[in-house]
Amino acid sequence: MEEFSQIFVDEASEHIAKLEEAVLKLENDKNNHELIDQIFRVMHSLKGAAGMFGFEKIGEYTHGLEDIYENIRTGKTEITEELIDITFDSVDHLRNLLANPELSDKKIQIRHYDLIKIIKTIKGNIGAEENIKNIQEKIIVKNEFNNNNNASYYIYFKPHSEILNEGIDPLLIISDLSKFGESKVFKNIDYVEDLRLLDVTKCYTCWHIFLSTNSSVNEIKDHFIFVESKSELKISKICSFNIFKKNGIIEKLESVIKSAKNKDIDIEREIINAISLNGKRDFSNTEKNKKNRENTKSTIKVSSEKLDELMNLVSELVTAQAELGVLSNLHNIQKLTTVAENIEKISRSLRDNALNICLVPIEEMIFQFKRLVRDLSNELNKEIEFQTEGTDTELDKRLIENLKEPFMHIFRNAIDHGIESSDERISKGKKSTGTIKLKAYYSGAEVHIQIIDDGNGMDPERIREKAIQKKLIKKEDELSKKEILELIFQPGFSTAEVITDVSGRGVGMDVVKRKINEINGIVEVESEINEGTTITIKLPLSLSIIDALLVKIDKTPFLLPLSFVDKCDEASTDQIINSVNNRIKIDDELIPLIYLRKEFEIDKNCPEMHRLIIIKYDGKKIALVVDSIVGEHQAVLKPLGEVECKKEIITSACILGDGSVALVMDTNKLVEYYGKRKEKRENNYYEKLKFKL
Amino acid sequence: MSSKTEDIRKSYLAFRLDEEIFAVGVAKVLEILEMQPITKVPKTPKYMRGVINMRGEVIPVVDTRLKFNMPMTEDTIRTVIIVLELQIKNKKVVLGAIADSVNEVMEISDNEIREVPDIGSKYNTEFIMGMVKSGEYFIMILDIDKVFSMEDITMIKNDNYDSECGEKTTPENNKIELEINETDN
Repeated sequence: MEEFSQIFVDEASEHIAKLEEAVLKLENDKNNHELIDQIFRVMHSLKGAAGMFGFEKIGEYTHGLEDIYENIRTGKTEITEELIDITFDSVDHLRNLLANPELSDKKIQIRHYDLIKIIKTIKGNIGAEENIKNIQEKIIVKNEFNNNNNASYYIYFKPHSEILNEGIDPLLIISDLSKFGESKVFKNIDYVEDLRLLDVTKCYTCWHIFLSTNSSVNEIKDHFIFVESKSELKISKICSFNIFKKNGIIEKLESVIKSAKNKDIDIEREIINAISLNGKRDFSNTEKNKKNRENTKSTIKVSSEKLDELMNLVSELVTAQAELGVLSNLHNIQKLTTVAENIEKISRSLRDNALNICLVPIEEMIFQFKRLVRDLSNELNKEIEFQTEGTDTELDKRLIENLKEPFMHIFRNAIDHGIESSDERISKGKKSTGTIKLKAYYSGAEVHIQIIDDGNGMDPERIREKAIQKKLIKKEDELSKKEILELIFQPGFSTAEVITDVSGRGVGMDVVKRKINEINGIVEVESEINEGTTITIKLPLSLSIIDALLVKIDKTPFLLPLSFVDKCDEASTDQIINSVNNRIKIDDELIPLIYLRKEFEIDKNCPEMHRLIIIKYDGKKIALVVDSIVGEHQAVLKPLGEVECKKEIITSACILGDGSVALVMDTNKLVEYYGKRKEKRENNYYEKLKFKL
Repeated sequence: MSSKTEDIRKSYLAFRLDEEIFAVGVAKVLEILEMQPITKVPKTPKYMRGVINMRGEVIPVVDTRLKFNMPMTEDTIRTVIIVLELQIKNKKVVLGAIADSVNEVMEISDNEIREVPDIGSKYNTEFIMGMVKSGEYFIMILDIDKVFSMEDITMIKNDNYDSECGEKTTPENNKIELEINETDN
């Protein structure tokens, strides 16, 4: 049972996420029937599954909501802001319920009954007023019924038009039907007269009811005993199982009812046909189209553990393949070489494929931000439009999981500090509605994600002042605009005058930077006063395997990510040691160099000629000096273990074909560290100073 | 099993460093590897020999002699890497420790272990759980988790180690980083 519950929780989380997404869309497109249908369907399946796995509270809760959306679907109720809000609240609450199905947490319990009350008042106009207790009782009754082998009945009930004058409420009779078992009621208002001619004392409506119960026809008939004589009442058994337990039937029956309308079609036969067809997987037109669309996509669900295992196996294969390559080079047998090369080719495409499987479009995380933007802008009374671009850009699933938190921070900052209030915007001559745009795109072996707001931007002068005040920089320091903006990523930096609930505790941006750095990403910021701020996050496509260039310094093998390597060259030791201002002339260009032997304090076996690896850093070229170049290598990245070192530069390790370990360098960090070493020392000094204060 | 409390015999792996014999509980030892090429990681303290490949996993290797502030020697055919699984700050850490040779696996009962006299001991007694006399030798039983805890603590009592081991700035930088992390929380 435990296992099944887990399946339910997984499934339900998905349903809830879908629900949230759909409601977000619905908010902007209130008349979209497809969305309403979708919401209804999700809630319906959620309810069904919850009942099946014994999550009664969830079932009970969604039942109420489902009713409301049923009313909307059938056109009885309009979508209101209030309803959207309550649905959002419900999404949150359902998540809580999922974690806490028995309402053991008092807070959630109170919230639960509060929300149920609200839902009740919203749907108030249908059915008799029941209090929460009643619902609960009913649920229990229902569950008892569900345990038995039910039959399903179709009931057609058309009360005589004077029924209201006799003091009988037909709605009460119908809602009381639920004591027999699970039921579904479809109204038929086709007999309702033109409003001008309508006699309010008369009843024009009739109902189609589907009821699943273990009571007999006579027992059901008895229920209508007071109205039976003058009304049209048909009760017929349509099948001997519970139609509510089978997905899709209700929807189908509904379309049967709708298509029947006023025409003199034998509804009973149609219904029985529909049910028997259901077994043969035939669906009504709309349903069929949907099914087809799903079929063309043909996806299967795989647990991420299995994917991780696949990736591990691929990694091992790549390592083993490298070993084979070394062997074939050693023995130089023609046939062996061919096989080794073939295997290399195959393992490379297998690797690419496996990596591709682990990629998911960033769309998956975006709707959360939509929600955040919506909630926060309401809370702060700002008008904000959220735009997205390139949401089909794919990223490693694990990367996406690590991105959520930093993105939340960035969005909060943009909404709270970036976008101005409508009045302020108008006075500045901007559109009253602010925009926040999330833009994602591929750039070489990287994915760039930008969050662009058109708010008031950041004032470099103010940041500078603040930084001086916080002792992050010295008063006489000359900083470029870019460098000043980068200061916002320093720990403890916050320019917000007022600390708000949303942001401004000064722990935001440094956390963002740290989190992004942890997954080998880079954060950059651009900002123009009154025009807005753009935060760019640059990420590697994958976390686990990269194409790299294998080089050696003395005996130590190092790997440089190939995506950063521009070209290779060579130079004599004299040239390097005697270089002026650490610069070397390559192709008539003076390029700064980093002499890795010196930086890594390796002084044994210095060769006469050195190799230069010219890498790109921030649009500039920088030459790394190594002893020799071995060649290209598919590097399976392994964590370095608990090695005390400048982890920033050597990010991970990789096992080579001969079983030895190569060290993977992060060229960006390397350049940052050695290129800006001087600055860094000063920064360290100020950091230290700050912590003393 | 035979008696209730007094005579619980546990297994220890005894190994030699220079002229001294140390022992660690076998529960902490994953395996013993022959000496193999070690990839030196730049910018690490001197006692960090580097990293090796242990069946596909990359593990760091510590030169125990240097960590214990003993003179460095050339590796011999008897030099081994003892792969240990340690519990450091609630985290499992696997690392290799270089020893001059492994002697034997011995069973020692708890009541054979004597306390280390605090005075006159060359080593910081915090890291030594006790001593056992075996023939003419004294074997020091190490609290191995503490020995390799990530902070730069030396086995030797007087603190003249910073200047000798590795990069001088490392411990200082570590400290700064730690402080940053704390303020974040």
